[in-house]
Amino acid sequence: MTDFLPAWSEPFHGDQLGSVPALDFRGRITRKWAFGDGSGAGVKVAIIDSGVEDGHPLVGRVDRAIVVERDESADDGVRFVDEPHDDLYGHGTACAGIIRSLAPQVEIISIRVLSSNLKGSAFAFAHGLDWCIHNGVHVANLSLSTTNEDYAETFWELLDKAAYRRLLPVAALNNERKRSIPSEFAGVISVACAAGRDREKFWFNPNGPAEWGAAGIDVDIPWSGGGTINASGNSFAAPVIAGHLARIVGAHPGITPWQARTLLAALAENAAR
Amino acid sequence: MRRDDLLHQLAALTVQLPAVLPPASTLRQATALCATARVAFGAAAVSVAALHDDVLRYLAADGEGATEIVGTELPVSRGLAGYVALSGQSLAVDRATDDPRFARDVAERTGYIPTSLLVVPIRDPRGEVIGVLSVLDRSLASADALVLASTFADQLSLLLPTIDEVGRTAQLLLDAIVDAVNTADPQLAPALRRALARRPGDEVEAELAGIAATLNELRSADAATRARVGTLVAEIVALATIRRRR
Repeated sequence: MTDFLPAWSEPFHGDQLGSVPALDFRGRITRKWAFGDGSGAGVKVAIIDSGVEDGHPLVGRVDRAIVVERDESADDGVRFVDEPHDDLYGHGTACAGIIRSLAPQVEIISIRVLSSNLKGSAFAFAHGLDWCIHNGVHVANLSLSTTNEDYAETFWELLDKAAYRRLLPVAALNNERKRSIPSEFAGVISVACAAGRDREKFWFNPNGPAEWGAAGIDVDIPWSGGGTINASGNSFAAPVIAGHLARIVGAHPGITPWQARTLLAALAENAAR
Repeated sequence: MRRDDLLHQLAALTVQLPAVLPPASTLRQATALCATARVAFGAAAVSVAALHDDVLRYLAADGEGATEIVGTELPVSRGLAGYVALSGQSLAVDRATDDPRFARDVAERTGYIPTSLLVVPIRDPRGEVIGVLSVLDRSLASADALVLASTFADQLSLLLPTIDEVGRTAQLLLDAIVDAVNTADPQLAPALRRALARRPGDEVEAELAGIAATLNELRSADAATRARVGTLVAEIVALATIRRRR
């Protein structure tokens, strides 16, 4: 016997590994089993966007609101303002409303990373995702991306961290064929628009980079000012998948990202039956 | 220098300035692109706005409200175009008038209130947003509307930096002229230098970044070339130092 233990092997020795949630497959995976009551109760969902309008009739309560700002005087150059805020445009409200329509009891956290200052939006975006990783968020909706190559490595690192913290990052691909960081990375649950307007339906594309398809063309969505608009974009397809994942996490607390993807794939419209 | 001499210099500059401008006006090119896009989309209007210091400035347009929109400035903190500029995400909205916020910003000033809007970002080669292209009330339905709009945006991305640079140069000359005329002994060269020094720091940094990029490229040159460039740079620096002492 040797006492040699290669690095990273420690968790598999001794009793620190603990138990992981077992997926008790009994025949086909059904929506009822995967989604449970479908309420998303107990699930923290972050909307990393332009803010979310608290009290919008189609959104309801915003449980927490954080503004991510650049702050040169802070150690890491960033400040998190933890107090109610508005949606600057309506885009974040749209995403939150779509998620709420699918999983009505989720806890909504608005992470506002867009401001009137263009410079540093990728910086705020990355720090917003980092905040989610360190604050127990279960599902993060990223209906935005950056083309700034300088941030590719930062997002790779963040996504690796997110995977091991059981955070499910759902990201909309860019509407044009441009770089879409981090949406095009395998570490995110990436989404583009499928046909139709039925939010209960979604499709699985294992070939990527758009891994999932959901309704997002000519859809009625909430917008700031308490109303709705009709709009199109991958931005509005991502929260459909985020809503379904919130249902799954609500029914199976502690589920890992890989298990959650397995359930979602089993429920896709194009899953072989 | 006497005032007459200064005016003579200005006149000379006026003659020389068109040489640094593109053969046809870039603004006219941008307007022509808007017109082409308007036909392609069967749209009521198409406009292009350049982004500068968190403000969108409408440079060119064609169709309904085109005359009124050109020259309009809007902060990126508001409106659909602002959202696209800030997020880099394009957006297609129908029934835009359901939300009065859309109309208030721009539409009321132009006298034309659109029902549908398609807004795409215009990016520089690094992917940074430098403007937005807006298509109002397109009538030709196409699944590729975003792709088409994005293609027009790519063409505009070639024009916007030129428009911007010519505008900045004109602004710089104007600043220098005002500065020179207001001094007791009007001299254009020192006034121009003062105007240059007043330019925002990030633009100077951009120039330094350009030099750094060129030097970086030199790393892949052969040793003899690098040595020759090194000597050349040393000689230029020495010359500049001597000139400054004088």
